[in-house]
Amino acid sequence: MAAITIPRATHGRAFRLRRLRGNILFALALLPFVVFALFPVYWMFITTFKQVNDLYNLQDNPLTFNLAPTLEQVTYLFQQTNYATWAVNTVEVGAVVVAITLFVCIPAAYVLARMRFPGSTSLGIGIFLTYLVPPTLLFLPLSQIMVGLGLINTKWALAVVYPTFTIPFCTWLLMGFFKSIPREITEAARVDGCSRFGALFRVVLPVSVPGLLTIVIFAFTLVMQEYVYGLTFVSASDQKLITLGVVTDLIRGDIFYWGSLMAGALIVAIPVAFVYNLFMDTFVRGITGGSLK
Amino acid sequence: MATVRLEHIYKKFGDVIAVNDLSLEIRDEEFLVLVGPSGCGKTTALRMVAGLEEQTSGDIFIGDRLVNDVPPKDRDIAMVFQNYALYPHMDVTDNLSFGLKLWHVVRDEIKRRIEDAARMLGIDRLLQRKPRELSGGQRQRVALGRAIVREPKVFLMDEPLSNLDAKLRVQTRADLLKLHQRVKTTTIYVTHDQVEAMTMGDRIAVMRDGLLQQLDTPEGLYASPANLFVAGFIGSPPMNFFRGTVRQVDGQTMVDTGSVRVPLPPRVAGGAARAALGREVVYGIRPEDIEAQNGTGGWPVRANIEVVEYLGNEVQVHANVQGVTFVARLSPRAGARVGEDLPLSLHTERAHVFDAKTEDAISG
Repeated sequence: MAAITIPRATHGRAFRLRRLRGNILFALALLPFVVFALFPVYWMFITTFKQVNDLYNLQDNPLTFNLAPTLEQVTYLFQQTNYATWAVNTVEVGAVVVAITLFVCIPAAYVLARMRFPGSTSLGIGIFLTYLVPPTLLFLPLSQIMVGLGLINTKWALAVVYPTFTIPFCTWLLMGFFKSIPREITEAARVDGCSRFGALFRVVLPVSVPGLLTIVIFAFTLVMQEYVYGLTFVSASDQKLITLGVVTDLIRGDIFYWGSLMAGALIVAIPVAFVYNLFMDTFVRGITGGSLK
Repeated sequence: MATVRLEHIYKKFGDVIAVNDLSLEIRDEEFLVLVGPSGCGKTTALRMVAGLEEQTSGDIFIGDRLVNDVPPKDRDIAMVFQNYALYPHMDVTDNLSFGLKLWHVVRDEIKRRIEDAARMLGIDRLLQRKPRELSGGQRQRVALGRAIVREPKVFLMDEPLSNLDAKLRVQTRADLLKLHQRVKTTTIYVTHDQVEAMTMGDRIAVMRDGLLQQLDTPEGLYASPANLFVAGFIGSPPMNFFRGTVRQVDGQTMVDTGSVRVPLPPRVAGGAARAALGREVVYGIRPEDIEAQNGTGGWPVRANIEVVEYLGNEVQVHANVQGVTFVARLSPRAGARVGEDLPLSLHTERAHVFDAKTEDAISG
């Protein structure tokens, strides 16, 4: 009779060592990328809290604090500039742009994704092409329009202009998202008692939350970082949005207020990074799983 | 409860005619199966009844109401989709109550209907789960439940079993039949599977290339197929076909394939037989109408056995009689062995004869 050997359930020492080595190599390979990605954030952070003498002394090590950290630059930002107003302006304009974008994109994308009519495909492509027209070409005719609307030199000019590039891109993005939602789900809703619009609001939109979040964040981020239109349409300091305000009011001639510039950037970057990370899972996880086979 | 009537329905997609002059009446409480190969127009027909597709011309009535211009939500129908189409963001309870809430059914009534349906379908333990947490069979039952709770006039089912594995399909098939016996709602059921059609349908409408081929009970379809297509589509393994010419041989009207002669069945007698003389026909005989010779009659042939497929309760043999090959279902005790000759008898009285050109059945 041959003896029956039962294989041991636990892994051997050699295996564990090999696995450990694999993990370490993996972390080492990642390290340069992490440093590369985090360095600008670190630089912003340390510059924000450095004293001016520390910042401009070429003998000092630029990567650490050589004098005690200070809140001077942040205080300057809030007390001597319109920084708070710019932040509020950004939120206001951003909210309006996001609202306009959603209001136009949702129906447009849904129709382009679901209905067949003559020219529907070329219309979809046409919408996307308008996104590719550069702002430098458009700001002259657009500024005429803004004068005509009486919005020139107000932040609301931007709330009207920014949808011209958020809408094409977001429509395109959402169209792809809607197309990925099985048609049968909307059909089931229509048989169950919804109109086409009802099916859109009760079934398609709740399933599309990741797509909607993506376009909200995309539109808001564009508003935050846009520069050319802001520069051309708005010159009053209290009407500026944050990106424009920080750059135009904290660089005076050849004098850069580095500490306050970095403080201004850091303060907006933190909440944005936080929100992105919060919704990262929602973006990645498709919640349509399980509706079909 | 309601009848469904389709009158001269056409549907064109561009230049393609998906449904061609379809007229059908589905009776109250009937379980009607639309069957045919893929692309035959059966799903399109169903979707037109649902209102998800608009017919190019023709009228559809549900009950006595003309519904051509009625949107799906107002047709009082419920549909079960091939891929179930559950709402992924809602749990089972919400999936079931979705339609009822839209119709403002009172809360107690919704609760009662959901409990009834869940018990009937054995999904009462799953009510809090999301679709992605259910197995295929469970999702399928939730999709059925969503139709049942609506208590609609008509159920429309689009291949609801095709995504289930074979064993579950057989079981669910029986469950669906039991369900229909209980709720008795008029049902239109689309499938490409002739076994499903035969086992489930009160009547079966066979479609091909957008055209209705035959509408009959399962027994009727099996016993008297209207044309070559229906004859070949219904029955498994399919009917054997031989091409031949109708000739008068020794005072008897026979089909002559060149090497084999078989008599015409009695259903093709008298005038029809005389009219068929000299015509090219297709002679059809089902594998189960061929037996090992045991002296009980039938038309005797001596066949060479080429393949024997043993299935336990029967053997399916591929036999060859002077160049004409066919399949026969025999008893395992018939003693069929590959390469040997076996005397068989054809029950030619149950055979079918079709015109070779028009493919229509010839009968007199």
